[in-house]
Amino acid sequence: MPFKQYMKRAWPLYVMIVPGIVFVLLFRYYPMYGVVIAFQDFSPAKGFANSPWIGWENFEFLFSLPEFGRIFGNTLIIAVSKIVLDQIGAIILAILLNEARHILFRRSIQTMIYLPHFLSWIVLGGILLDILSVGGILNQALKQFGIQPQLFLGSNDWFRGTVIMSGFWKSVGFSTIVYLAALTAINPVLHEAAAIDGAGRFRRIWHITLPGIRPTIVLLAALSLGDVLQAGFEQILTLYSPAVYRTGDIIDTYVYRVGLISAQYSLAGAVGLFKSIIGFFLIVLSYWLADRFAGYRIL
Amino acid sequence: MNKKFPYDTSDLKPSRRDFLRLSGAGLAATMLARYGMPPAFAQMMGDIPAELHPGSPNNPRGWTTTLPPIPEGMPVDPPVTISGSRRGPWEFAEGDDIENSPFTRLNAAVTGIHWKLAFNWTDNEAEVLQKYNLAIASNELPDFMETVPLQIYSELLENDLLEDITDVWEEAAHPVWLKEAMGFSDGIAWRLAEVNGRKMGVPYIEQAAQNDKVLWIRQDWLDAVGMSAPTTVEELHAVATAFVEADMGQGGAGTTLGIAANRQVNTWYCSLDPIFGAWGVMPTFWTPDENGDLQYDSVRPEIKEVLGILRQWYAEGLLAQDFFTFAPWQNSGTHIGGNLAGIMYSPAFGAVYGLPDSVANDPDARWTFGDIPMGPSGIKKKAWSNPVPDTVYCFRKGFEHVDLVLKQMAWWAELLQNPKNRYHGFEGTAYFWRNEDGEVDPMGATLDLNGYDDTKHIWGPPGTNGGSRTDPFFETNWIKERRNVWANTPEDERDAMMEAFLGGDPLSVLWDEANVFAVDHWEADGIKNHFLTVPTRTMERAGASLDGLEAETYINIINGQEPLDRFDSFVEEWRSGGGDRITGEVNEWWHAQM
Repeated sequence: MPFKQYMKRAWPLYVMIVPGIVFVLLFRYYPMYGVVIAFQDFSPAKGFANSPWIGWENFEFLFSLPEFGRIFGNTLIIAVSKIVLDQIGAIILAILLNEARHILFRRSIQTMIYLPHFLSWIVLGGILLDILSVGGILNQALKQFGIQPQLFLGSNDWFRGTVIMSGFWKSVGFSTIVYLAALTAINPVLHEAAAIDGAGRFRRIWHITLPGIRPTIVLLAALSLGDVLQAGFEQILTLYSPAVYRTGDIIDTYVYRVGLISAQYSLAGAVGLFKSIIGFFLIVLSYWLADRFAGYRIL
Repeated sequence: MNKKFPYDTSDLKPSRRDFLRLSGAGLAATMLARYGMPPAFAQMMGDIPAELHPGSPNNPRGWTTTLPPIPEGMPVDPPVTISGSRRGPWEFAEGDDIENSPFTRLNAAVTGIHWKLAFNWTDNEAEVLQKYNLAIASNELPDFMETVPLQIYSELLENDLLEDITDVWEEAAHPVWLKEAMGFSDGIAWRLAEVNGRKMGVPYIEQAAQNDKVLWIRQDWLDAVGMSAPTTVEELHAVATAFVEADMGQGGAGTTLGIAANRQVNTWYCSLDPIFGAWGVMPTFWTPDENGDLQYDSVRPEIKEVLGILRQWYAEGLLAQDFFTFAPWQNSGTHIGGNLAGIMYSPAFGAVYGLPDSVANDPDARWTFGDIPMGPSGIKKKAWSNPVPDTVYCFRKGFEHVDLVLKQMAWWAELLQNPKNRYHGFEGTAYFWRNEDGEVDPMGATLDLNGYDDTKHIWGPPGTNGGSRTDPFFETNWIKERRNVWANTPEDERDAMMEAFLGGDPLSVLWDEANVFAVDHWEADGIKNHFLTVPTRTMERAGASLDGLEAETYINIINGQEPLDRFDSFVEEWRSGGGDRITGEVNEWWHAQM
């Protein structure tokens, strides 16, 4: 079709995407120039233009911190565990819910599991502290089975597990929503045909449901890799204490404590940039993997 | 604190609120014709129109508020308009707002100053920085800047954006309500507001001894184990052990604690600072050594001794097994409110924070307070709570009415802080009449018993949201007036204001007593932190790392995860990790102060 004729037909569509493009440019790309503060000794009074340039000093400071290995490792371990657990848990839960026959049962379970998503960590932190303390409900229950009280929030053996599991409990319900949507897109004819051929429930899940949502799984897994350094700042800030710095201190909480002593915009900027760059490379990599193994492409 | 208007007063006729809210000669004349001129007003109002006057002389049980003399040259003519930033939120009677309230109206009549709101914030952590940074970046600083945070203050100083008020202070500041009131404790109020001997702002001052600890202890438990309140740390240990062994607590068997503690050894509630103080050291504080240099107490050898004792207490089960996962505010609910512990080192306000829950959960609980126990060599010290937080009132460079603002501050300070003036705010804003002839309601539970703390509605101290004063002993002076003068007034001569403040529930009375006690011991028993300025360069860089190391080491030594000798290697690590450099920088600043 000649270009002129094509545009005559398609121009309203182009007009319609203009606000979206303007929005992205204005609120996503334009503020990016603020990233220069990562390379400055930034002071708000002097502004972007006049703050002195200090090159890589903020990054050098970050990487040369005595704790850097520890906080980077903690961040990675907690974040990756959360991503893996959250994805697998969400898939399993979505499939279980999908198989449940009773619609009211399904709806109420679904509502219950994504309710915690809407509570803030400040509130949940207080509740968890009470539940998990030595005199708390959980330890009282364990006592009935003759198990000694455990310091779920105070010991380095437990802390990561507590963070990962409580994070899982809070987020998994919400993560199932996309999978549940994807499951409705599977043609019921396939299930019926398989059932007639004598396939049981597990066989149908394995051969029809899971392959049916494979692109969604790959897509969400790929996108979540961008969060590989997001271990959950608010959550850890409300739950941790100096006794578990060794296993629970992450990059964000560390930088927060630096900021408590004096506001260091540039250092926070450098940390943000560092995390974004790692996230960016992982997203590109996983997109390539998704294309390669699941045939998933955006365009 | 939000003000609420919980009482429907529409059935009260004639309404005094309407009367007070009306302004303008015509309306005032109408009201006077209708209700008559209150005789008390006629005598004392001077040049201030009756409808602007605080107090309640027109009510049969009302009282008279005396206004201080109007400052010389005021009200200024023509009136001036001054812009200022403010911390909210506030709530007003209908039709009023921050620029037009009983406070601003009276203020305009007295001083001739009209205030214009430049910007405000409610969140004192992030939003305040954002708003001030925006004002700096857009070059639109208000004339008067309320409670400028330390980071912003150094920013403003560095860029020469602040007015030097040294000379105008000398000339215009009130000798009693500003100069003398702010001169306490060798001028510690000026450590931040004064730079190189020049006054760059007015200090923000809170109550004296606000967070100074007293020993709170359960008298009923003491009676039960047949012991008396401990006077030495050794006796404290014996009492705590007796409480645990007798299992006095309300929880399950074996859950009683000797003493309530949390993840910070030196903090504002359920602190352990008086135990360190009994050995003459104070973690996280910088104190002068025998050569006159500042030393960091957290790494002094005496600390090891105290850590050893706490470590032993933890092993004996006197501290909660997971005490170090608790933040101070969480102690109040779980350990104190839940009646697991019968001993804590907390400030005077501990009487109304934690204890009410304790008494609610155990009606037999009888708390009392006493002096902090002393150490083996007779030392009795605690952390001196600094009433000068890291914030300053500043003026824009080039602002020419600093003198007027200073005069306004002094006038309000005198009105509010001198108990003889009997200020209790404005009807409808600070209190209501509950019924025609009788009781005054100081806005119920939304306002504490000290109803005069409604002062956040006027610019500058003592009007700031957050409790700024010009005199740190103001609260205590009020308590003494209540206890020594009002309480001795025969009952039939008491007016509604006296009755609203006198008496009260036993815990509030305990609070007042503890307040007076703590203030009386404030200077003698306090260890002061002498490092009061912006963090040094190395603190900015290595401070988080060193503070983390310190907190981690202290806790791990106390809970037995690491040996006591870990303290020695911690000191080495602290020194080589930047501590020595910080000590040098701190002393550079310290000796420049001399």
